[in-house]
Amino acid sequence: MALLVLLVFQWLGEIAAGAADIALPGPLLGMLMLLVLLTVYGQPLAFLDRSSNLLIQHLSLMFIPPSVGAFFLSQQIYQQFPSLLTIIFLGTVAAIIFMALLVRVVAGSTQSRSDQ
Amino acid sequence: MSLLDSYWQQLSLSSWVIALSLLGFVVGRAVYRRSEGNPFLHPLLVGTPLVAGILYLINMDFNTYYSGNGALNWLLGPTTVALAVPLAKQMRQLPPLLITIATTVLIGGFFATGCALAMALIFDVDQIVMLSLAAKSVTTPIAVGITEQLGGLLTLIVMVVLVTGIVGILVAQTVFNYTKITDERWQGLILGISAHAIGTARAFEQSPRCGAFSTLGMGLNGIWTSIFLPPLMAFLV
Repeated sequence: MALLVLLVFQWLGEIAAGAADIALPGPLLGMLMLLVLLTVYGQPLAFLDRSSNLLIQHLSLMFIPPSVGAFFLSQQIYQQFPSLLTIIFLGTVAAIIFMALLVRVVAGSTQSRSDQ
Repeated sequence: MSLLDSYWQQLSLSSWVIALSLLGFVVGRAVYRRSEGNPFLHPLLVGTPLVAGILYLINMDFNTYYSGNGALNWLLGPTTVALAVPLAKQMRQLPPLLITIATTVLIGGFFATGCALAMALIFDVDQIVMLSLAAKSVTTPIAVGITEQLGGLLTLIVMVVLVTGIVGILVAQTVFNYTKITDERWQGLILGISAHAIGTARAFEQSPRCGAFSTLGMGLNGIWTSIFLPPLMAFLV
Protein backbone atom coordinates (compact mmCIF):
# COMPACT_ATOMS: atom_id res chain seq x y z
CA MET A 1 0.00 0.00 0.00
CA ALA A 2 2.69 2.46 1.01
CA LEU A 3 4.84 1.38 -1.95
CA LEU A 4 1.85 2.02 -4.18
CA VAL A 5 1.50 5.56 -2.79
CA LEU A 6 5.22 6.19 -3.34
CA LEU A 7 5.05 4.81 -6.89
CA VAL A 8 2.01 6.94 -7.72
CA PHE A 9 3.91 10.06 -6.60
CA GLN A 10 6.99 8.99 -8.55
CA TRP A 11 4.79 8.52 -11.59
CA LEU A 12 3.13 11.93 -11.09
CA GLY A 13 6.62 13.45 -10.73
CA GLU A 14 7.77 11.84 -13.95
CA ILE A 15 4.70 13.07 -15.79
CA ALA A 16 5.23 16.59 -14.41
CA ALA A 17 8.94 16.53 -15.36
CA GLY A 18 8.06 15.39 -18.87
CA ALA A 19 5.22 17.85 -19.32
CA ALA A 20 7.09 20.88 -18.00
CA ASP A 21 10.26 19.87 -19.86
CA ILE A 22 12.44 20.70 -16.86
CA ALA A 23 15.69 18.97 -16.00
CA LEU A 24 14.58 17.74 -12.58
CA PRO A 25 14.51 14.01 -11.81
CA GLY A 26 10.91 12.68 -11.75
CA PRO A 27 11.24 10.98 -8.33
CA LEU A 28 12.45 14.30 -6.85
CA LEU A 29 9.37 16.14 -8.13
CA GLY A 30 7.28 13.27 -6.74
CA MET A 31 9.00 13.76 -3.39
CA LEU A 32 8.18 17.49 -3.47
CA MET A 33 4.51 16.77 -4.21
CA LEU A 34 4.30 14.27 -1.35
CA LEU A 35 6.12 16.74 0.92
CA VAL A 36 3.60 19.48 0.16
CA LEU A 37 0.70 17.08 0.73
CA LEU A 38 2.09 15.79 4.05
CA THR A 39 2.91 19.31 5.26
CA VAL A 40 -0.59 20.53 4.45
CA TYR A 41 -2.14 17.43 6.02
CA GLY A 42 0.05 18.02 9.07
CA GLN A 43 -0.07 14.55 10.60
CA PRO A 44 2.23 11.59 10.13
CA LEU A 45 0.63 8.57 8.42
CA ALA A 46 1.68 5.40 10.26
CA PHE A 47 1.62 3.06 7.28
CA LEU A 48 3.69 5.44 5.18
CA ASP A 49 6.14 5.98 8.07
CA ARG A 50 6.99 2.31 8.45
CA SER A 51 7.58 1.54 4.79
CA SER A 52 9.49 4.76 4.18
CA ASN A 53 11.78 4.02 7.10
CA LEU A 54 12.38 0.50 5.84
CA LEU A 55 13.32 1.78 2.39
CA ILE A 56 15.52 4.59 3.71
CA GLN A 57 17.37 2.23 6.05
CA HIS A 58 18.28 0.05 3.07
CA LEU A 59 19.62 2.90 0.93
CA SER A 60 23.18 1.60 1.31
CA LEU A 61 22.11 -1.70 -0.26
CA MET A 62 20.75 0.11 -3.31
CA PHE A 63 24.05 1.97 -3.72
CA ILE A 64 26.23 -1.11 -3.72
CA PRO A 65 25.83 -1.89 -7.47
CA PRO A 66 26.84 1.61 -8.71
CA SER A 67 29.64 1.86 -6.09
CA VAL A 68 31.09 -1.44 -7.27
CA GLY A 69 31.43 0.27 -10.65
CA ALA A 70 34.10 2.53 -9.13
CA PHE A 71 36.41 -0.52 -9.32
CA PHE A 72 35.73 -0.99 -13.04
CA LEU A 73 36.45 2.49 -14.42
CA SER A 74 38.90 3.35 -17.21
CA GLN A 75 42.60 4.15 -16.65
CA GLN A 76 41.88 7.65 -17.93
CA ILE A 77 39.61 8.28 -14.95
CA TYR A 78 41.83 6.58 -12.37
CA GLN A 79 44.65 8.94 -13.37
CA GLN A 80 42.47 11.82 -12.19
CA PHE A 81 41.74 10.33 -8.78
CA PRO A 82 44.39 12.40 -6.92
CA SER A 83 42.84 15.62 -8.28
CA LEU A 84 39.35 14.32 -7.61
CA LEU A 85 40.10 13.47 -3.96
CA THR A 86 41.84 16.83 -3.42
CA ILE A 87 38.80 18.64 -4.86
CA ILE A 88 36.41 16.69 -2.64
CA PHE A 89 38.49 17.27 0.48
CA LEU A 90 39.21 20.99 0.01
CA GLY A 91 35.72 21.71 -1.38
CA THR A 92 33.98 20.10 1.58
CA VAL A 93 36.20 21.77 4.21
CA ALA A 94 35.77 25.16 2.52
CA ALA A 95 31.99 24.71 2.36
CA ILE A 96 31.72 23.91 6.08
CA ILE A 97 33.91 26.86 7.11
CA PHE A 98 31.94 29.17 4.80
CA MET A 99 28.57 28.04 6.17
CA ALA A 100 29.72 28.25 9.78
CA LEU A 101 30.73 31.89 9.23
CA LEU A 102 27.52 32.57 7.28
CA VAL A 103 25.35 31.18 10.10
CA ARG A 104 27.22 33.33 12.63
CA VAL A 105 26.49 36.47 10.63
CA VAL A 106 22.86 35.69 9.76
CA ALA A 107 21.73 34.02 12.99
CA GLY A 108 23.68 36.62 15.00
CA SER A 109 21.90 39.53 13.33
CA THR A 110 18.40 38.02 13.62
CA GLN A 111 19.18 37.18 17.25
CA SER A 112 20.07 40.76 18.16
CA ARG A 113 17.05 42.05 16.26
CA SER A 114 14.70 39.87 18.30
CA ASP A 115 16.47 40.98 21.49
CA GLN A 116 15.64 44.62 20.92
CA MET B 1 9.34 -22.12 -24.71
CA SER B 2 12.75 -20.69 -25.55
CA LEU B 3 11.45 -17.30 -24.54
CA LEU B 4 10.45 -18.71 -21.19
CA ASP B 5 13.85 -20.36 -20.88
CA SER B 6 15.76 -17.17 -21.45
CA TYR B 7 13.45 -15.32 -19.12
CA TRP B 8 14.10 -17.89 -16.41
CA GLN B 9 17.84 -17.67 -17.01
CA GLN B 10 17.74 -13.94 -16.64
CA LEU B 11 15.66 -14.21 -13.49
CA SER B 12 17.95 -16.73 -11.83
CA LEU B 13 21.01 -14.69 -12.82
CA SER B 14 19.48 -11.54 -11.37
CA SER B 15 18.52 -13.19 -8.09
CA TRP B 16 22.08 -14.50 -7.83
CA VAL B 17 23.80 -11.15 -8.37
CA ILE B 18 21.33 -9.39 -6.10
CA ALA B 19 22.28 -11.92 -3.43
CA LEU B 20 25.88 -10.82 -4.01
CA SER B 21 24.94 -7.17 -3.36
CA LEU B 22 22.99 -8.28 -0.30
CA LEU B 23 26.05 -10.13 0.99
CA GLY B 24 28.15 -6.97 0.59
CA PHE B 25 25.49 -4.92 2.40
CA VAL B 26 25.05 -7.36 5.31
CA VAL B 27 28.81 -7.75 5.87
CA GLY B 28 29.36 -4.00 5.50
CA ARG B 29 26.61 -3.16 7.96
CA ALA B 30 27.81 -5.75 10.49
CA VAL B 31 31.37 -4.38 10.40
CA TYR B 32 30.09 -0.79 10.68
CA ARG B 33 27.93 -1.63 13.72
CA ARG B 34 30.78 -3.53 15.38
CA SER B 35 32.98 -0.46 14.97
CA GLU B 36 30.27 1.70 16.57
CA GLY B 37 29.96 3.90 13.52
CA ASN B 38 33.56 4.53 12.51
CA PRO B 39 33.20 6.65 9.33
CA PHE B 40 36.15 4.87 7.68
CA LEU B 41 34.22 1.59 8.01
CA HIS B 42 31.01 2.85 6.36
CA PRO B 43 28.96 -0.10 4.99
CA LEU B 44 29.66 0.98 1.41
CA LEU B 45 33.43 1.27 2.01
CA VAL B 46 33.50 -2.31 3.32
CA GLY B 47 30.79 -3.96 1.20
CA THR B 48 31.78 -2.48 -2.17
CA PRO B 49 35.40 -3.79 -2.33
CA LEU B 50 34.10 -7.16 -1.15
CA VAL B 51 31.63 -7.44 -4.04
CA ALA B 52 34.17 -6.06 -6.54
CA GLY B 53 36.72 -8.65 -5.31
CA ILE B 54 34.26 -11.50 -5.79
CA LEU B 55 33.45 -10.27 -9.31
CA TYR B 56 37.18 -10.27 -10.15
CA LEU B 57 37.58 -13.77 -8.69
CA ILE B 58 34.70 -15.33 -10.63
CA ASN B 59 35.60 -13.27 -13.70
CA MET B 60 32.18 -11.69 -14.11
CA ASP B 61 32.09 -8.41 -16.03
CA PHE B 62 30.60 -5.36 -14.37
CA ASN B 63 27.78 -4.83 -16.85
CA THR B 64 26.36 -8.33 -16.31
CA TYR B 65 26.43 -7.72 -12.56
CA TYR B 66 24.96 -4.22 -12.84
CA SER B 67 22.08 -5.13 -15.16
CA GLY B 68 21.27 -8.12 -12.95
CA ASN B 69 20.75 -5.64 -10.10
CA GLY B 70 17.99 -3.77 -11.92
CA ALA B 71 15.50 -4.45 -9.12
CA LEU B 72 17.70 -2.60 -6.60
CA ASN B 73 18.06 0.36 -8.95
CA TRP B 74 14.33 0.36 -9.44
CA LEU B 75 13.79 0.73 -5.68
CA LEU B 76 15.76 3.99 -5.70
CA GLY B 77 12.81 5.86 -7.27
CA PRO B 78 10.21 5.13 -4.57
CA THR B 79 12.91 5.58 -1.89
CA THR B 80 13.64 9.09 -3.16
CA VAL B 81 9.92 9.87 -2.88
CA ALA B 82 9.96 8.34 0.63
CA LEU B 83 12.46 11.02 1.77
CA ALA B 84 9.45 13.36 1.91
CA VAL B 85 8.18 11.52 5.00
CA PRO B 86 10.99 12.37 7.48
CA LEU B 87 11.33 15.81 5.87
CA ALA B 88 7.63 16.63 6.38
CA LYS B 89 8.09 16.14 10.13
CA GLN B 90 10.63 19.00 10.19
CA MET B 91 8.54 21.54 8.30
CA ARG B 92 6.81 22.82 11.45
CA GLN B 93 10.14 24.00 12.92
CA LEU B 94 10.78 26.14 9.89
CA PRO B 95 8.84 29.44 10.11
CA PRO B 96 10.63 31.27 12.99
CA LEU B 97 14.07 30.32 11.70
CA LEU B 98 13.24 30.82 8.06
CA ILE B 99 15.76 33.57 7.32
CA THR B 100 18.77 31.72 8.67
CA ILE B 101 17.74 28.39 7.18
CA ALA B 102 16.95 29.86 3.75
CA THR B 103 20.16 31.93 3.61
CA THR B 104 22.35 29.01 4.67
CA VAL B 105 20.76 26.56 2.25
CA LEU B 106 20.61 28.95 -0.72
CA ILE B 107 24.05 30.56 -0.37
CA GLY B 108 25.83 27.70 1.43
CA GLY B 109 24.50 25.01 -0.87
CA PHE B 110 25.50 27.02 -3.92
CA PHE B 111 28.95 27.68 -2.44
CA ALA B 112 29.54 23.97 -1.71
CA THR B 113 28.90 23.06 -5.34
CA GLY B 114 30.47 26.16 -6.87
CA CYS B 115 33.66 25.70 -4.86
CA ALA B 116 34.08 22.10 -6.08
CA LEU B 117 33.38 23.09 -9.69
CA ALA B 118 35.82 26.00 -9.52
CA MET B 119 38.53 23.63 -8.30
CA ALA B 120 37.61 21.11 -11.00
CA LEU B 121 38.28 23.87 -13.54
CA ILE B 122 41.58 24.79 -11.84
CA PHE B 123 42.73 21.14 -11.71
CA ASP B 124 41.58 20.79 -15.31
CA VAL B 125 39.88 17.39 -14.88
CA ASP B 126 38.03 15.74 -17.78
CA GLN B 127 34.54 16.97 -18.51
CA ILE B 128 33.05 13.60 -17.60
CA VAL B 129 34.73 13.72 -14.16
CA MET B 130 33.44 17.25 -13.63
CA LEU B 131 29.89 16.16 -14.51
CA SER B 132 30.29 13.26 -12.08
CA LEU B 133 31.37 15.34 -9.08
CA ALA B 134 29.04 18.33 -9.44
CA ALA B 135 26.32 16.81 -7.22
CA LYS B 136 28.81 15.85 -4.50
CA SER B 137 27.09 17.49 -1.51
CA VAL B 138 23.65 16.10 -2.33
CA THR B 139 22.16 13.00 -0.77
CA THR B 140 22.87 10.00 -3.01
CA PRO B 141 19.38 9.20 -4.41
CA ILE B 142 18.99 12.81 -5.54
CA ALA B 143 22.64 13.03 -6.66
CA VAL B 144 22.14 9.95 -8.84
CA GLY B 145 19.06 11.53 -10.44
CA ILE B 146 20.89 14.82 -11.08
CA THR B 147 24.02 13.11 -12.43
CA GLU B 148 21.90 11.02 -14.79
CA GLN B 149 20.37 14.25 -16.13
CA LEU B 150 23.81 15.85 -16.51
CA GLY B 151 25.24 12.81 -18.29
CA GLY B 152 27.91 12.01 -15.66
CA LEU B 153 29.04 8.59 -14.44
CA LEU B 154 26.72 7.03 -11.86
CA THR B 155 29.52 4.67 -10.82
CA LEU B 156 31.66 7.68 -9.90
CA ILE B 157 29.13 10.00 -8.22
CA VAL B 158 28.17 7.42 -5.59
CA MET B 159 31.78 7.18 -4.38
CA VAL B 160 32.25 10.97 -4.63
CA VAL B 161 29.16 11.56 -2.45
CA LEU B 162 30.34 8.95 0.04
CA VAL B 163 33.83 10.47 0.39
CA THR B 164 32.30 13.96 0.72
CA GLY B 165 30.15 12.76 3.61
CA ILE B 166 33.10 11.15 5.38
CA VAL B 167 35.31 14.24 4.99
CA GLY B 168 32.40 16.35 6.25
CA ILE B 169 31.88 14.54 9.52
CA LEU B 170 35.63 14.27 10.13
CA VAL B 171 36.22 18.03 9.98
CA ALA B 172 32.85 19.55 11.01
CA GLN B 173 33.36 19.46 14.79
CA THR B 174 36.77 21.14 14.52
CA VAL B 175 35.29 23.92 12.38
CA PHE B 176 32.38 24.37 14.83
CA ASN B 177 34.87 24.69 17.70
CA TYR B 178 36.98 27.33 15.92
CA THR B 179 33.99 29.34 14.67
CA LYS B 180 32.14 28.91 17.99
CA ILE B 181 28.99 27.44 16.47
CA THR B 182 27.54 25.94 19.65
CA ASP B 183 23.83 25.90 18.70
CA GLU B 184 23.16 22.32 17.69
CA ARG B 185 20.38 23.39 15.34
CA TRP B 186 22.95 25.17 13.14
CA GLN B 187 25.48 22.39 13.55
CA GLY B 188 22.84 19.97 12.24
CA LEU B 189 21.83 22.23 9.37
CA ILE B 190 25.44 22.63 8.20
CA LEU B 191 26.13 18.89 8.53
CA GLY B 192 23.05 18.13 6.42
CA ILE B 193 23.93 20.62 3.67
CA SER B 194 27.59 19.65 3.40
CA ALA B 195 27.62 15.95 4.34
CA HIS B 196 24.05 14.79 3.43
CA ALA B 197 22.93 11.43 4.88
CA ILE B 198 26.29 10.61 6.49
CA GLY B 199 26.28 13.98 8.24
CA THR B 200 22.66 13.42 9.24
CA ALA B 201 23.46 10.03 10.77
CA ARG B 202 26.24 11.71 12.77
CA ALA B 203 23.88 14.54 13.78
CA PHE B 204 21.34 12.04 15.12
CA GLU B 205 24.10 10.52 17.28
CA GLN B 206 24.49 13.93 18.89
CA SER B 207 20.77 14.61 19.51
CA PRO B 208 17.35 14.20 17.83
CA ARG B 209 17.15 17.98 17.42
CA CYS B 210 20.52 18.17 15.69
CA GLY B 211 19.45 15.24 13.48
CA ALA B 212 16.14 16.90 12.60
CA PHE B 213 17.91 20.07 11.40
CA SER B 214 20.40 17.97 9.49
CA THR B 215 17.53 16.17 7.73
CA LEU B 216 16.10 19.56 6.84
CA GLY B 217 19.44 20.85 5.50
CA MET B 218 19.99 17.69 3.47
CA GLY B 219 16.50 17.70 1.95
CA LEU B 220 16.37 21.40 1.13
CA ASN B 221 19.88 21.39 -0.34
CA GLY B 222 18.97 18.37 -2.49
CA ILE B 223 16.00 20.25 -3.92
CA TRP B 224 17.91 23.51 -4.34
CA THR B 225 20.94 21.89 -6.00
CA SER B 226 18.77 20.02 -8.48
CA ILE B 227 17.27 23.37 -9.48
CA PHE B 228 20.43 25.45 -9.95
CA LEU B 229 22.91 22.78 -11.07
CA PRO B 230 21.62 21.80 -14.55
CA PRO B 231 21.57 25.39 -15.88
CA LEU B 232 24.93 26.11 -14.18
CA MET B 233 26.51 23.06 -15.83
CA ALA B 234 24.99 23.98 -19.19
CA PHE B 235 26.75 27.34 -18.78
CA LEU B 236 30.12 25.86 -17.68
CA VAL B 237 30.43 22.87 -19.99
